[in-house]
Amino acid sequence: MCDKEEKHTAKRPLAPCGSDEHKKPAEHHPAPAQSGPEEPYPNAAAAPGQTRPSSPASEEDAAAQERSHLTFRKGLRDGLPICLGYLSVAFTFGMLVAQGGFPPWVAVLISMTCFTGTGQFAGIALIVSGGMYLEMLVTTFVINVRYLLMSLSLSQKIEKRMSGLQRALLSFGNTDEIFAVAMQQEGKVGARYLSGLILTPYLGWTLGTLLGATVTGFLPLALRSALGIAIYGMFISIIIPPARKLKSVAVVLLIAVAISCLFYWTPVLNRLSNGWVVIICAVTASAFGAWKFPVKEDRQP
Amino acid sequence: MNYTYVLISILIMALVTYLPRMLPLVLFRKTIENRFIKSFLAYVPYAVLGAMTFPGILFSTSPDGGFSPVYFLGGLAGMLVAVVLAFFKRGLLLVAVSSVAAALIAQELLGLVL
Repeated sequence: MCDKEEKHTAKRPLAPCGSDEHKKPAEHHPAPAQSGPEEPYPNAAAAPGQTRPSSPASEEDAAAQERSHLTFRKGLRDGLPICLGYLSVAFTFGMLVAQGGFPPWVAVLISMTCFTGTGQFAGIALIVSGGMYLEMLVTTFVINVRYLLMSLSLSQKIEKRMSGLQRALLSFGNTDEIFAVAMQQEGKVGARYLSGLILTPYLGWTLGTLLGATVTGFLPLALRSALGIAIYGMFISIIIPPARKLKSVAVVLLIAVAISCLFYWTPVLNRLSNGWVVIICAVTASAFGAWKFPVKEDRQP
Repeated sequence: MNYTYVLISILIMALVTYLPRMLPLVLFRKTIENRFIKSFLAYVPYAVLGAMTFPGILFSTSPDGGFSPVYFLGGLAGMLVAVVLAFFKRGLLLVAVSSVAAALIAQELLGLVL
């Protein structure tokens, strides 16, 4: 990261979580960027809620919602790239289930009720091998324990006035990618935007699973194995651009990656299961980031 | 096939996936004022995704998850292509599809040599 970029970020009250959305509309907007209600804040400092930090939260929320550019439609649109990426990942999952000798509805049922990547892959492997219920419970919990941290993070990003029912429903869609895209939005995120952002990827996930479970036989093994990298490609496309822009994010990312590699290649440490490793990496790297590069007070992270 | 077993397993998976997502969002409704914790939570998405991606991506194309030079190098090729494209801010789908293509091509070529 060069000095110029650092100065740039120091001047603007930027949170590490994105906010460069406006500069790269092509990223999550397949359609050409529109002027008008879509992008009302030419720069981050002008967003509502920051100019009046003393006003009550509910008023802030209401005002933000009124002028919000985060509509249901924008949610659907931002969800589209995730949806297409999910098609290929879920396709791989569907194939795996079919290879395990299960009918397609089993694969689709798992995708529709779990809506998670890693957990489903581990779960179906256990079912195929006839694992115990307790094993399934512990494995899935360890893989999913990161969601506790992510949901806590999301709880600070959503509008305060969101009802308990809305929270309960929308939390179902808090996948890694949807979470990351929601966190990169400017200001608070409401129920409408989130439902859009969840709906398109959910359809892609379900449809991809169905296709994978039904057309497995037609694909050569080489392609089936190469498809396994798709989900990681999505992760990379989400984390690299903010890391390029903000030194703080780049440092946090490098620490997390370094610890993760350490756990993978060190003889005794590599016995720890992946779910716990992710938690250890995330807590250490985020704590270091919070200590060295605290986010500006007046910004919602 | 024992469908009772399969269905109970799916139920366990679904619940254990849903509860960690739902509980913090529904139960924790305060705004955190502490600057350290706020900053900490802001960095969580990047740290989580980073740790999940590396080094897992290098072994992601192996059919059985084990190590083999061809699949490792295929994963490496896919990773490099994804990083370069993401660095130049290409969209999520293009990055994902290109990394699959790169891994596939690399593995096919290496399969001829190794």
